Amino acid sequence: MTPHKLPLRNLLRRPGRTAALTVLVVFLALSLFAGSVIVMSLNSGLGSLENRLGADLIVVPATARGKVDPEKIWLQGTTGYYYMSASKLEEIRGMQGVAQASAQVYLASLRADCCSMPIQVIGFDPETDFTIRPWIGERLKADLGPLEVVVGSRVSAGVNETIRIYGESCLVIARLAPTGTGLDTAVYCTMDTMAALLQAARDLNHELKIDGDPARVVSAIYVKAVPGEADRLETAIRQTRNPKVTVIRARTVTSDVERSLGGVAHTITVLIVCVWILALILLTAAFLLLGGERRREFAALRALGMSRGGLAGIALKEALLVSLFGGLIGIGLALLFLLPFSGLIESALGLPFLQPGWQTMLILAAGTLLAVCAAGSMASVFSARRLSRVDISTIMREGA
Amino acid sequence: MKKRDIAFGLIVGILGLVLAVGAQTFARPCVHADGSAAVCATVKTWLTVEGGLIAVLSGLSMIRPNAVTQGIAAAGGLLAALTPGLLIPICKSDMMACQRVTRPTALVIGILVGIVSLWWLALTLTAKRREARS
Repeated sequence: MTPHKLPLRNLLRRPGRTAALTVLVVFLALSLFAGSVIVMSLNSGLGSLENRLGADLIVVPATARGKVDPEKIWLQGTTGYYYMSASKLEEIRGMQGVAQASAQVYLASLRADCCSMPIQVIGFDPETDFTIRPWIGERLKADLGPLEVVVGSRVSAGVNETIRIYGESCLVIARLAPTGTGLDTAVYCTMDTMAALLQAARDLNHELKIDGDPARVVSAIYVKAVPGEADRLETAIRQTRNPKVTVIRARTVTSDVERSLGGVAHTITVLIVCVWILALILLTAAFLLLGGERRREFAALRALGMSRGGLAGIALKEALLVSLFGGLIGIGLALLFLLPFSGLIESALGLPFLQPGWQTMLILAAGTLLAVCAAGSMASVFSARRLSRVDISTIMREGA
Repeated sequence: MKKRDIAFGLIVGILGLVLAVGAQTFARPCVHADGSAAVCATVKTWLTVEGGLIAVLSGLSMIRPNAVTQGIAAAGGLLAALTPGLLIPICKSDMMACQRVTRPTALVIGILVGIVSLWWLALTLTAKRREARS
């Protein structure tokens, strides 16, 4: 047997010892990789939310928060609806400091046939919209026709399938890219389609609390202010009456999310650091203890003519092999849990969660593997140093 | 009974039990608000049967290591991973419990059972080959 094969043979000969060391390394890799992916997903989710809200101010009826918090619709995909007269849009458009304003209409389906629970339907005006259209434009070049819808990435109706909402068959013509927010669970249509759906809901005796024509109501008005005018405009809109409105600053929504995200990211980082410190101490201690047990084995190798460097090399190679194997298992386990459970993690955190693409995952995995191998090698350095300096005569005499 | 078989048997058995119990409790499929069964309702029965089968097979193989039972346990794991969504339809929306919990649970446990059982099977076959040689 060549000395090159010795480290692997040593590891295979003692499966219990190897398994114990591997478990420690698995914890190192699992915590680092999973923690990094979660923190990165939360950051991507926040960036995506900022892009998707895309407005300075969002105006909703003052009664909206009593029914369902609009932020829950955007962040968690909670369904809800509330209405005010469409004349409010014209009123706001006429205000000084408004660069762009566009309305959206919300409707919660009862139970669409794609899903066994309500889904949020969002109607927008393609002529004036500046928040949904750029996002839809990534996947759909043509205009949306009557009873045609675009679905969020988490509504599992395929393109060219139809989904029935309040008895109306709507054709899915595109699926949107994921955003990691509640907007992924919604269905998007034009105002004409929305008016037809509102009428269909009324015909089925669904209580929407709309007075008059369903085509003349809006749920939220997205406003982009002229630079530097947002504060003044917010005050001006708040003072309007008939109906009274609530003005939500998009920046406030993202700041709140940013604050929560900071807390979660901090907790995860502290946990990763704790796991690493503990595992590194345990790993170093384990290598030292095992080194003590293996002094006779290394003394015999030295007596057979192996150099000190060769002995240290064996110990380091063993540590590197264990780190590589444990690192791969840890990354594999992290992926096995993170990929399928991403939806559950998102709903548990209640924050936008957008997992990075496979290229980023690959880079993170490579980085984790490098870090784990470096940590494993470092942990074995003391043991390797001690083993390379074994005094053959003393050890042989001890054993006699 | 070898220590190795006890360890592998316990791991596979516990995973099978978690699947069987999980399908009835924390990872059960959706129920409509009106109490009626959702599309995914039958997944619960299938996962319970598969999980139970995996647990029984691992127990048998722990007492008397057998490549056939270990092979069936591995196949059972892969079958469980494919049951929700591929073999039995589940709700289409990602917001549903069957999509968020039942399917990932079956997938993770199924893959783990498959990998561990195949590893166990490989060790059993290697040991048998060694015995035959000697």
